[in-house]
Amino acid sequence: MSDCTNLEVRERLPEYVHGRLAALELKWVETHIASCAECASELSLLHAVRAAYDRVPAVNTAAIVSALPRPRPARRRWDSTPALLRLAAVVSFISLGGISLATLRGFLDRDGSGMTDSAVVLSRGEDTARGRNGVDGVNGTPAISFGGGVSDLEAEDLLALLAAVDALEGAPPADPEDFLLSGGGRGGS
Amino acid sequence: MAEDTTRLPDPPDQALIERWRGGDERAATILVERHAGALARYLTSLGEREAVDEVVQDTFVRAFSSLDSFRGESSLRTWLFTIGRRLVVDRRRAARRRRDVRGLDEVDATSEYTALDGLIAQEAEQRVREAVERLSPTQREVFLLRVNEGLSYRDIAEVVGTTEGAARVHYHNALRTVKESLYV
Repeated sequence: MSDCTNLEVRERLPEYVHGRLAALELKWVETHIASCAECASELSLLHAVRAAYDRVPAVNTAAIVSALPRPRPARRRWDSTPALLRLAAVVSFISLGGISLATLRGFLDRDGSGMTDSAVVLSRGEDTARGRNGVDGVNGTPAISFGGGVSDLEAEDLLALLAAVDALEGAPPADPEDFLLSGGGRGGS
Repeated sequence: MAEDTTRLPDPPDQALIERWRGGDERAATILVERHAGALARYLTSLGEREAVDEVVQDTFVRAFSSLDSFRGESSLRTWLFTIGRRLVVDRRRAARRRRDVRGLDEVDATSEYTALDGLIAQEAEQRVREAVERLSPTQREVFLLRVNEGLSYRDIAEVVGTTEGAARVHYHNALRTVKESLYV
């Protein structure tokens, strides 16, 4: 048996079998089939093939459904980021913070504001006639400059500092000036 | 009896997928019931009959486990067919390694339906089956996807792993061969 030369209609026959043609196309195909023995025969063949293979093997859908994974709740964007990437982000954040802090400290030091907390200077007296806080350094007596805290001193420096403190002579503090008698007080009356 | 006109139209697959993602497990039931039969029929046409229910289940489990990667560019059914076909191929390869059995492309489908022959009542159906089983494996697969499942050439190409043009050629060659088998 020869084939119809109208390939456009023949291409639509499987869709026609499955009832998937839009109204206009359906009308067009049906009109053609009504007057075309070749297409009518081909359509019968397609129906026969479909019927021959229409038997659906028994499938236990309940068992399939019970085997399915549970739906996962939508994850937040941060949670969906790989762990390694998250770790890298944290390290970068900390590093940037540290660099920024160090830069800020350097800037303040250059500015001469003396706000560094590690500005402890131990002078051995080689080139200092007098320590900045009045300790005589001529005889090798350590002079101490204590511009900040001791929290970040090395153990060796801390020991040197303690030794320097021990070497200080005990001197009573000068008597405070009488505030009222000095005449510089703001609240005097 | 009057037709029930109050029945709502079936929700599309994509809407059901979204519902399942939102925690609605009934949506999965609808999807399974909608596609399991067609999937089983397609897998059977590949010659997978003894463990077809197992392959169908594995296909759905794998599909639902990776629904995040389903972009909806093709239909869900096409995607399921693609996964199911891959599973059949993998099973064949594994079986071949174990027992040196024939691969998917080497399956003589005529013998696959021997047990079903007795169930086929009409002689015409039997003749049609025999004509289809004489096709090459690729022709048969493309032909049945087009005629039985109504897939487009584009979807067939995705399932089988070929081009739309090649799928079209396979279909028409298969159709001509079946006609020649039946009418000559």
